[in-house]
Amino acid sequence: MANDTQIVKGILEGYILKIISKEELYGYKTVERLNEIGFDVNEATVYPILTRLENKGYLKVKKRPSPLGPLRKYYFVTREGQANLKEFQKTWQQMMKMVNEVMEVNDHDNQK
Amino acid sequence: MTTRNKVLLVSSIILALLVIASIVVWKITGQSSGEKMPVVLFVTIIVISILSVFVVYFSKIQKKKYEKLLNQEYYEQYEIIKDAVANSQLSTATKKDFSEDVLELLLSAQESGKPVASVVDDPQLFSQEIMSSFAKQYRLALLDLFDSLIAFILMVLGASFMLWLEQTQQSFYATKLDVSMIAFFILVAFLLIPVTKAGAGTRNPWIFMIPVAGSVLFVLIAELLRAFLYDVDLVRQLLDGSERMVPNMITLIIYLLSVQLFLILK
Repeated sequence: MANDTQIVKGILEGYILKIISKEELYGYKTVERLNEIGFDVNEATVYPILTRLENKGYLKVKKRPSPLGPLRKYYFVTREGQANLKEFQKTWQQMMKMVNEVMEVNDHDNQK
Repeated sequence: MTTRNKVLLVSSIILALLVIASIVVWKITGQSSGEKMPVVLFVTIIVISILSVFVVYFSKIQKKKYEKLLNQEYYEQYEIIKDAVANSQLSTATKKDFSEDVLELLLSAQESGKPVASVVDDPQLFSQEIMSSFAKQYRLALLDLFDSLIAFILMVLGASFMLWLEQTQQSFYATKLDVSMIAFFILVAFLLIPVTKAGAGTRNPWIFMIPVAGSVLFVLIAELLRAFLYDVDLVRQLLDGSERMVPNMITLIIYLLSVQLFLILK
């Protein structure tokens, strides 16, 4: 999936919160996880999102030395982040329902 | 050494040489007209000029411990991002934090064998996105203006102090600055510094030549004005006029408080 639209960036924010709530991740690992799922994103897309989520207070960080030497930031979801994630999931379900309904109507019309 | 570093080093050397040359000319012309420049002032300016080249080398060019682990391709991208961050309005702690994060991110990507283009395709856009996550555009513009005002005030106070050192028998508040010098300070504070800072996060290394080019252009324009438009009052005033920029203690206090205020607001 291409990453150049606002809607994808919005979805990415929610999705990043979700995967970080499951396991502690650092920047590069987060990109890898997203690539595995099918998001065509790179570090330049993901790092600004992580920074934005951290600045909003949805993520907190712990720094530990990486095997290569410099300190590495590991991300964790905060209580505010969990609340935001729930809100995102609720909105996402509603949107999915609406989009599916519209698509089904269109498919039905096309079959006629 | 990357092209950016070569340009940066050469421009700092040229600037230092220009300052040394102008101070030597000032001393020679001063001697012939009977005005003596204090030896301490002469030596201090030359030493500061030479030291500035070393400061540029050690702070901007020499690679830090972990930066040496990046290969040439990765380092070039990292350098662009680092420059954009260093010249941004982020706090010193955030700048350091951000540079370390990006370095670690790029080292991990390099270690996994990814080509740099697939990691950071546009380092300028990448830096801008990070900066906008910290502050809105209008706030960043306002902070840039504060920087320019601080630079202008410090240049005025610094130049007034240096000129006063030449004639310590007179009051500091009687020291006059040439109008052309004030115009040059305005040019540097409100145009050359902001343009150079804004361009520091781009792929164009020649941006570091802007301070040198701007200074040379200013002198050239001044000389052309002297040659062709000296009859115009405004031009004569610009080239040969002088003004007291710190006429009394209240003005000095206003200057100093303004600098403090701008620093607090930042």
